Amino acid sequence: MTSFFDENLPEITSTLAFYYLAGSNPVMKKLSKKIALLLFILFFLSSFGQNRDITLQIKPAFNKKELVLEKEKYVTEAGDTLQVDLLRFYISAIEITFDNDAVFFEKNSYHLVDASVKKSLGIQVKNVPPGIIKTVNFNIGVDSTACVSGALEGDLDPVNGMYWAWNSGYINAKLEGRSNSCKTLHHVFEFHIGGYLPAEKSVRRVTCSIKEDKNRLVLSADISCWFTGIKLAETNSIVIPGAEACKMADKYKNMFGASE
Amino acid sequence: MKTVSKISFLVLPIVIGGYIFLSSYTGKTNGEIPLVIPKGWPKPVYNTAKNPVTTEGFSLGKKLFYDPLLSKDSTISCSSCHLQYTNYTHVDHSLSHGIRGLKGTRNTLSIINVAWSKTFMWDGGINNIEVQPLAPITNPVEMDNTLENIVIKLRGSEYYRNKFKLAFGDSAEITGQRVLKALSQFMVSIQSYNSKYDKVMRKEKGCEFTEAEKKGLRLFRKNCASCHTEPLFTNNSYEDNGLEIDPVLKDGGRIRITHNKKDSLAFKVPSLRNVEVSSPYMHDGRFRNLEMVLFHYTSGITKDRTVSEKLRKPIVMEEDDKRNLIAFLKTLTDRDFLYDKRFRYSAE
Repeated sequence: MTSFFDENLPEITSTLAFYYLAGSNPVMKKLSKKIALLLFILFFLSSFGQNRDITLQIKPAFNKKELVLEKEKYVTEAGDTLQVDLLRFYISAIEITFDNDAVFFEKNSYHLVDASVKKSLGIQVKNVPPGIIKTVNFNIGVDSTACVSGALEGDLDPVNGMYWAWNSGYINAKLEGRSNSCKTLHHVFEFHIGGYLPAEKSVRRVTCSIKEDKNRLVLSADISCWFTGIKLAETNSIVIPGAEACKMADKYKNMFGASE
Repeated sequence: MKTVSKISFLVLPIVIGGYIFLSSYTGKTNGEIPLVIPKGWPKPVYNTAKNPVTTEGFSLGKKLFYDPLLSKDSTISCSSCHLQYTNYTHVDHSLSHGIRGLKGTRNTLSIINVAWSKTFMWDGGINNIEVQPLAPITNPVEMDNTLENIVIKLRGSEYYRNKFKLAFGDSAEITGQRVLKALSQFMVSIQSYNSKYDKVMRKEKGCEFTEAEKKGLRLFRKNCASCHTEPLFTNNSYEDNGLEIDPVLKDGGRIRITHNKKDSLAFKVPSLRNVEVSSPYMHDGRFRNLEMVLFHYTSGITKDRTVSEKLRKPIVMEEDDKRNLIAFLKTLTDRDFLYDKRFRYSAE
């Protein structure tokens, strides 16, 4: 726990410094050097043990190679050659655990990650306490409460194309692309994975071990695992909740790993 | 200095007064329109506390409801299929048609008393009224559009930018959420509770059932009320009412949503309020009039499968009974509601 003073120390010290430097009072001038020194020491000390903002940098990849949408070709485990046109997923309920067993929960934690939107790949987690981070845990997808709460805002706004129309609920993760193995229109494959009812729950919890204390945590999202055990000629469209969607969610939950 | 302070003494009250006066016209003080909860009705399902209906929000929602801008080629509005005079259904159309004359697979459901409904559509696939409009908006044979595209179009309109500010505050951008919240404010306000039935139940002066209507009510309570439960005239459930499967549509109903065999061929129990004006009937609009509906329930229930347990005991009715029952059903017509000017299209 941090006290009011801890949290506000930088503001207090810098405000004092401002008034001091701006002041033309002769009495103040006499004390100037000592006070300035004291204030700067205080300011310096206060920057330790402060809450900070952390960036969770998501790096989409395929078989450890950086994912390039629409242009690059990749080969799956089963030997299907494909390109990826769209990759979107929700990261929610972020939880950071520390070496000293402290746990930080992000409030109102819903982030839409879109491989084509650079900004969305750097998730900002605000006001994280200091300490050595052990793990970052989160959901891929959103909880059932959000799925039954009507029209929500921000990353959850149905305007983002991640909300189902005729069967309410969020699409937790979406992957679309093309492969000549698919005997579909324009050789398209599409996986829209969702479902919030107990029997078809497709939200998945992920734990990523991180052994560094940095304000930028890089997580690679290697989507080759979506295709483990899949032949695109046979499985190329999952767009409703159910057993198939759950199976896919079980595969892609392994896509995250910490990289340097 | 003196003149300056004198002027400020004069000017300040005018500025402040003017600000207060103007703000009452710019929506800073929104007039709330509370949901009417008629006596004896259950608690509404929809929580208006999270999206209170305001004069400005209602007005915006109504404008959107009647605006063909919502469809991809700006030809179809919500009101194309939900007409006020016919209980917000598509009169004379067994299956409604949408964009480019394309036909859907189901009969338009009415939009009444939706704040009391847990789930929406014939198969109950939608779990909140706020996200209901997404279905017709994105359906390729209805509006064939996306919410994203609607938001882009609305942002390009100065008229709508102002309307959204009035409804949601001065700094309010047009977002998908706000489009849906405004539509919901209009839809939950579509409330019917002033039919002859209601007036008789409230023991209003001069309101009495005729002999035929009284007999009809008794028959109704005996044979129909287990599903079409008063006062909403629906139990909000999904039932297999024994219709033969249409060989072209092959519509499985609620099983499409729940993947549960128990829900095979189950469809929403619609409210019977204003049933007189909302023909044709059933999920595929196969029956043109109430006589055909009653023929189905007395003589037409399929024997090919096990239907809703509420219909396993045969319903026996003489022709006179049927006439009386229909006389009662017509007391559910609420003309105040069907011709309420507040809900009618108005050019602004």
